[in-house]
Amino acid sequence: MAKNMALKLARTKKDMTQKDLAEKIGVSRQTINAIEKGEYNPTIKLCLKICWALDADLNELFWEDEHDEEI
Amino acid sequence: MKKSKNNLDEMQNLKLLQIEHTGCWIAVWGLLASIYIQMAFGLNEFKHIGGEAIVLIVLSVYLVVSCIKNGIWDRRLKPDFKTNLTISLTAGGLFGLYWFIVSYRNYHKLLGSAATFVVMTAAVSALILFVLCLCSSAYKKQTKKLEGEAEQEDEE
Repeated sequence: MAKNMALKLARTKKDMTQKDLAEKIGVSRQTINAIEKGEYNPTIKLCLKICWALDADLNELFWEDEHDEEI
Repeated sequence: MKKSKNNLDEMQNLKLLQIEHTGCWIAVWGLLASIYIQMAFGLNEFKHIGGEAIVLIVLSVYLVVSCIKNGIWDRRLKPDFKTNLTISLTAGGLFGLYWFIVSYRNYHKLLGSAATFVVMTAAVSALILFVLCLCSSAYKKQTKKLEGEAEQEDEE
């Protein structure tokens, strides 16, 4: 899975650390880190929580083109 | 009693499940190895291997029943007769080989040991094939039932 740069960018735009975001949505810091590194594929529920926390939409943070998919 | 709060998030839960999954298979193969090692040293009685055998049987029955109930067979293997036959012949062959070695070590008679091998392989293969066919048939029935329920819910 590719790195989620959009998420990292949206988080830094909000001036939030991984820890801040993790605390806001009630997950561990290593989970946010794994999502940003593309090591963990979150459920739609967690994706939504991240979007709400960062005032972004799903497409902005999690959309991937078909040819980018590396499964 | 109030259920205590889950301290793990979804990724940690998934990781814990993976750890438990590996632990479960270590337990299964460890128990099997433990039974075989004890039997190899002549400790065949129930008082020697009974504990391990009971735990292994309970664990296996739980895994098989839970999987069938949820319409799950295997990640790679298909529930058809050819696959079942291959698995039962392989397992039966390994079991027969084990008893061939035990028989030859105890009696030093090649022909007798070969006969033991053939009889044990045939008997165990037949038994495993019967159980596998029974399970795969139950799996197919359950899958049909689950698909029917899903279709009904979809129509509603």
